Amino acid sequence: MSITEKDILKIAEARTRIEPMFDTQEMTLNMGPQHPSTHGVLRVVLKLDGETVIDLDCDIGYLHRGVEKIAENRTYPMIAPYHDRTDYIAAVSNGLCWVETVEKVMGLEVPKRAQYIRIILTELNRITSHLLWLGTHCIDLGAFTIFLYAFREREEILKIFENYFGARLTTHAFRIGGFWWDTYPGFEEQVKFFCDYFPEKIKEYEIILNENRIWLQRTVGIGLISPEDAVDIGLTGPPLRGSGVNYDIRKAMPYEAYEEMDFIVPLGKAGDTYDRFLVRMEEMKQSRNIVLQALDKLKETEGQPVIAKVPKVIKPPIGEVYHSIEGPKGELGIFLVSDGTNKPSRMRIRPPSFINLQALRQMCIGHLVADVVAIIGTLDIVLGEIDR
Amino acid sequence: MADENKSDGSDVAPDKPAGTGAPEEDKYKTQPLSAVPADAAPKLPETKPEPPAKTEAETTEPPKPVAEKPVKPAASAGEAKPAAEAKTPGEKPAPKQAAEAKAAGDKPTPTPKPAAKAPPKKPPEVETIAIPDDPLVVALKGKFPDTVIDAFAILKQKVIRINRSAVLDVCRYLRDDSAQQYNFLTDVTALHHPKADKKFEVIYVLYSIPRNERVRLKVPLAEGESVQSITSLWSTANWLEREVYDMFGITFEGHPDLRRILLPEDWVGYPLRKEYPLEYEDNEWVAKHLDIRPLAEGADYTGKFE
Amino acid sequence: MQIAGPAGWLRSVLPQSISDSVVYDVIWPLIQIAVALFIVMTLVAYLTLAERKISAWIQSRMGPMRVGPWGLLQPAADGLKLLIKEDIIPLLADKAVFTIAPIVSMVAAITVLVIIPYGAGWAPITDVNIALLFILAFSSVGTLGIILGGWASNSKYPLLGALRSSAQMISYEVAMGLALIGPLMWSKTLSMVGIVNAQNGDHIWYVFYQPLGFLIYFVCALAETNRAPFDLPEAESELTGGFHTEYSGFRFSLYFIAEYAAMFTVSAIAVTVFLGGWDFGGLIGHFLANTHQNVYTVISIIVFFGKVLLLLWAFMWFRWTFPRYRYDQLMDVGWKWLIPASLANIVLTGVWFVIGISIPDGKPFLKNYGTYIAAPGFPAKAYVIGSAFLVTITLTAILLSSINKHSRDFNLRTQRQLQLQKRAERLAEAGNM
Repeated sequence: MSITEKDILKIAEARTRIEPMFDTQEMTLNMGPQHPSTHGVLRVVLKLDGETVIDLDCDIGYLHRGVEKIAENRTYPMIAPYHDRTDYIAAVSNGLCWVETVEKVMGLEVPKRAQYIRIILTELNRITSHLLWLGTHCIDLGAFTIFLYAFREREEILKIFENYFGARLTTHAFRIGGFWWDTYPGFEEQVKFFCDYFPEKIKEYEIILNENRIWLQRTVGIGLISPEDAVDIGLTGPPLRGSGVNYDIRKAMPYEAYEEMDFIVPLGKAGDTYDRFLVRMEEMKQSRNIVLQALDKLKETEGQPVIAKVPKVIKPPIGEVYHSIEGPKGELGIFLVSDGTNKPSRMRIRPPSFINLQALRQMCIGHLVADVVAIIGTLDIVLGEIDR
Repeated sequence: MADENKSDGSDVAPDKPAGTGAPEEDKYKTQPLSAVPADAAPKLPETKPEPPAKTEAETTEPPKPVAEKPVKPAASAGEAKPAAEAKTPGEKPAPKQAAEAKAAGDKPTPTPKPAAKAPPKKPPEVETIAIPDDPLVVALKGKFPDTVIDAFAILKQKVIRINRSAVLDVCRYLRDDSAQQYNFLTDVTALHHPKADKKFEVIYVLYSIPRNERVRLKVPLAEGESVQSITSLWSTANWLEREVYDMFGITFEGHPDLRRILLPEDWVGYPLRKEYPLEYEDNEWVAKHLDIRPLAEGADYTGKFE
Repeated sequence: MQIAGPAGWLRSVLPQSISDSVVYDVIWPLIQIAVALFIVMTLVAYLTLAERKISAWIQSRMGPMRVGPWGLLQPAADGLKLLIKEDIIPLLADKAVFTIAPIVSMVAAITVLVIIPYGAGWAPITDVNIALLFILAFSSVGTLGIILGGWASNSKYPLLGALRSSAQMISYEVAMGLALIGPLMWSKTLSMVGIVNAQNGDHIWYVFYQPLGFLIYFVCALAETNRAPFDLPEAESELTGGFHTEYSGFRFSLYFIAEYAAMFTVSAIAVTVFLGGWDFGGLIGHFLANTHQNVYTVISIIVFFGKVLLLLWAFMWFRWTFPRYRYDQLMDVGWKWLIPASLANIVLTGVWFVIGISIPDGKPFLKNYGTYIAAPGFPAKAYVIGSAFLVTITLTAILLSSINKHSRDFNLRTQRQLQLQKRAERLAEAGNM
């Protein structure tokens, strides 16, 4: 990295603007694995000069379960529930990445109706993940009420998930080739009901937060990262787009039926926490638009099959592929090497949160301890995905 | 609270989901566990074949850098026996292919292209197309002679295999050259082929944001060889290479901070290697830190954990 | 010497062998103290329930509903739970200080309850003529309890929390004291009963004469009691509990009671000084005051508590609405906004005061009634209220903007514009992406 010791000290001094009258020591503070705002079992060791962060080291691996090793010993359909448990907040999109990767290797063409249903569920899942991000980010910064409002909205979507998949959190949503069952009666009405009442709720959050002086003071200018640094450190998803880089896989390398959907990709300007906040709020609105469009297209494909012709035992041909989707946290990719048997030879998950978390050090140096919490929140990390 | 758990009848699943009305499930519902015979449990797919079966196959391996095609048919030949459906037509062309490839000489050539919509008799392989005329490959061969081992396209994704000595230079060229502009490092990972000559393969996935192009670099490595770290080009490689080191044991020269990332600092072993067992081992780390010692051989522990 | 009201009744039922002074100066005040303590402690206990209920209603849920009808017995359950919890003291903690710290906080919070004027007539327990000063001084001792608690816990998080909290409290005490000086110009006395009488005599609440003072005082009260948006020292998400991380069980409940009692105290001061105390004016008030003193007193007590509860509800409303200030921003607000504002308030009020009391020849606006100064009549009141709302606030706003023009956290919008502009220039130079 391009930050030297001198730069760090300069920033720290500039922030405190106090002439050192006596010898001060730097303090090592451990935001340990059990901490209310590290979003899981993440250990951050901070070196502080007073309140300013001089250095930072993340210690991860507390949730390492060896998913990649397990996947080499399970058949392809058996691996799908493991993906729910990596990013347990956005389990639906994780499942999407997995089934799409396997379908790509097998050369399966998923029917259109299934593609539309997949888009609806994935975008609802994006809204769910962003709502949870909003709730936890606000509760870290002290605005407790938004957390409960966001979860109230999430309830509606989780009811849809429960009705369709049987589970709210670890959904095992998709099957290789499409869906085993078509949508249940009442699916479209429930989704439409959610889409109709969601915009005013988003408006509520914006009224409470967007122009709130305390919110602005806590988020503007915090965790700045320039677009060049963002690309260098490998950020994807809203942290990258918050800095102004236009990279969204739904537009760049569209999967499912995203080419037919009309939506914009919100970009931030300054690359600070406030911009990432605005980007995610706008993404929620765009997701709602996509869901409505997909619902209309779904009506046209009434009665069509929802699963392709899939053999009883999934044995993809020998080959390898790297497939990625735009998950709520960033670019979620799977590199799959198949050896012709019914178990993969290697399954590698490219976790967006793992790579985004690398930027924490760069973003936090020079800020105060209270900002570290805000920056961890704005990167939107899930430890299940980081540690796999 | 109790009211929330009550559901109206609409979201109760039907008793028998379509297509899975297997009689075994009823057995579990109506009979106590002890009454279920031992062979009523559904068979799990069996694990990969034991090493002795493979040692014979190893001697027939052509001595060349790793390519999936000769390796995997041999493996599947050993595995076809326990598989329920024996894809016997699939095995015969595969050893033939190995012989063909051996006869073709040292330079590995891709297979003759089988038709994509072939009948099931064809070997189960995804079509790989050699791309020697691709502008990227031509440019690389021009700038760095003797580094490109081969280049092919698989499922419309470009894959280039290069020598380990040139990794840093090739990546720097790909990042900085105005015609290439691969400025985003998507992933760094590795593969382990226990039966190949060059056992490891480090994979780099690069992406060009301005040109919307993705390329995959593969670097074959023998046991004990290390590769240069590209942390000086992209900071994102820092943790990615640490994870490769942690899981495979591949060292990266020039990495600023090469230590284990997901596993504890003093762990012994590299889990994602094929010989590392999947099941939990009572190893020294566990005994030292968690005070868990292996069960004594032959001791009777029935009833002691209730 | 016959004294009206319950003291007189007490004198009449007790045997004559007990002297007058003992009855009027020892037994009656003890009874008053006991009753006041009981009422306030119950109020504090139910404040915890009110906090949970109000937070729940704001967050579209119901709050505690199980213990008792609509959860009304929840404080009893909470109190009992905290009492029977295990008493944990960290191994390396300073045992004596660890034990004393919450007691210090609690004592400081409860001692001032004796000076608050709960009502008219015989309701205030005592009438000290420097009551306001005493309250401010004694509340500061509560800070000591927090520092001791953080230090004695022998752990980094409580230490950080305690230091932050103490710095915050002493900063905001300055502004609080200065904000209270405005009404003192009118009431000419520090005695709480005297201040209420002054408002009564002028038929006005001082909040109308001193809107800026009230705002400053209220914000400082939020910061003094470590309430959101100033609750960083005990922020769970950042310091896992701050100074009370290592406390559990009864000691924790002592800190909690101290916090809520302090909330009650600062609200009571606000009510007394700015909102007219127990005065409820109007025809009914004057009628009752002249005829049925006891009824008047009882109603005045109820009115006083009603006003205090209104302010406490505002405390809780703010807590669940606003995000939290970061520590340096918190100190910023205290030193660079509230203290200049309160100083400006004093100076400007003084200017209008001097003009009002001397300059209009013959008939000055403000009249000195000896014990207090009032602005009788509509033109006088219009003058005072108009000058306070229109001129004082505007001039103070201009002063604050000019002081903080270059502050990092002020004018964030302009800062962002500048930032974006600079970035655009830089990109234009580089000419890529």
